[in-house]
Amino acid sequence: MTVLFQQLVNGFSLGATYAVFAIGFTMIFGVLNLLNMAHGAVFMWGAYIGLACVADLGLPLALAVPAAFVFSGLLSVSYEIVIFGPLRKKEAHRWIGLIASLAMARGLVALAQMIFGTHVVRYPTVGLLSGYMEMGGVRVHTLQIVIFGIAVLLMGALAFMLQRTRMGRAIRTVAFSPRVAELAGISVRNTAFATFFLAGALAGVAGVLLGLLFNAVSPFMGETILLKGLTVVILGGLGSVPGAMLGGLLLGVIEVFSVGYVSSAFRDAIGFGLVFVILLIKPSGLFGQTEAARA
Amino acid sequence: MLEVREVHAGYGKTEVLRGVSLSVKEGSIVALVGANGAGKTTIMAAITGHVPVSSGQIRFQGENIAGIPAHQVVVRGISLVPEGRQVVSPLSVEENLFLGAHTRGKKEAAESLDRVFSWFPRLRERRAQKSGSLSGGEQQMLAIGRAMMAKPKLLLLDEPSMGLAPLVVSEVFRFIRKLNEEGTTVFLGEQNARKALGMAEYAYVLEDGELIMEGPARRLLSSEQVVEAYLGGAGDGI
Repeated sequence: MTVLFQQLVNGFSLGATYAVFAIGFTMIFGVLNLLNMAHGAVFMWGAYIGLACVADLGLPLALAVPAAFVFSGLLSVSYEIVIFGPLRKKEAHRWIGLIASLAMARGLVALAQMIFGTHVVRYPTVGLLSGYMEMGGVRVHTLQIVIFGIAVLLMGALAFMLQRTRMGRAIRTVAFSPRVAELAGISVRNTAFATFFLAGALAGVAGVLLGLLFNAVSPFMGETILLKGLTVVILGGLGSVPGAMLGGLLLGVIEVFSVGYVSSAFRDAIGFGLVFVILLIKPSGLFGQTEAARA
Repeated sequence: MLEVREVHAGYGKTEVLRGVSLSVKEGSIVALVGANGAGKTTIMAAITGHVPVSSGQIRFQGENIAGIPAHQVVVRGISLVPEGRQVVSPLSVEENLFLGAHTRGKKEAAESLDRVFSWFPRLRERRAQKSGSLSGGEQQMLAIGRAMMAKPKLLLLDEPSMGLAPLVVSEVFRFIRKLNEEGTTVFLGEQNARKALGMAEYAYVLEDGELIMEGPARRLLSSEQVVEAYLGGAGDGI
């Protein structure tokens, strides 16, 4: 029982970071109908910016997270300016955007290699965060609580923004039909900027959180998470924000359990395999809906 | 109020409108009738900025609005009730209505909401429901209500009768007339020529991207050519 709870705690903190990453991925798909293959690169850059704030500038995590949020958000907006906006104007096929964003991702990875080197770097042990508490044999690290807390806070804020604000309504309307949005006076371009900013900002924070959790930051960390993000998005139902939240948590838990009960070598095989089984049962994903009902 | 001058427009290399000129006087109801595929929706889309105008002008209140970004058209005072209603099904009834007032202030939006609810008490009852759960007629009322939330000077309607039962169609048309009596200018694209001509003051007949006839609606209603092509024969939509 203790082991089970321990795995759940570990799975939730890992899964929460997957969820935060995948939400942006699914939003860009749901709102703009794009697969942004460079979403992992903002995640990786967010991790480095957070690291630079903590390690080089000596800032507390409470400042490093917002810094990563803003930087990654802006980096993500640059995708819209450089790649997706011009392609939309030309009414290009969305596969072109997929390839162009892959190129962007590679460029950003190369740039990170040049600046930060190819080796894995670590967050300095941050005083308070290294502590833990034990409840009935289950060890809960302060870091896990902080990571989970930040993830839940961000997801709650995003859900509120989408459901209750004017901008959220605009985003959901563009997801339904850009044309209807324009008829109502909503600028699709500005909505795309907002979507890319939010998606990138969340990915950047997820980068910091995962960098802390695994205590490792490298230029290639974006590639692994991109595949997991894609899995989570499909598992949750393409374009569904609640689906990405639940899917992320689920994938995190599945992974931790397969490491705990099977072998770490089989982690991804079991993770992806189980997702496949779930999709066989529910092909449209957990929160999968018809195209029209997305977002 | 609205003047379309020699407009050529289309999708990509396909030209749909081949030199269309028409005008809508302030305070009037003008109908645009024609078979499916004649180009009625394209004219609406050219006015709302969703189809590029390759030549010609679209003048609204004296200004050429051809080529302005689509999301700025509503600010000028033109609202479209699109073909097939296009209510945003994941949004609630109330959210759909507020969407129509996106460019206006909170207070103005709340006032307009009250006005729309007074026209359609059924929408008030269902304000919290997802709009996808409404019946076809209710969705049409919602689509019109949403367009009116912007307090437009000119209301464009694209096939408002499509897919609705005859009784509901009559209800929708009665309501359009009421909006017009309260001061909104109406430009109506409609396959159901009999209904449209019965309500409008002036009308244009569109065929293959060109206007082939125009005149006071009553006169068109009794014109042999129109009766044959759009009212009696197989060409009649509904």
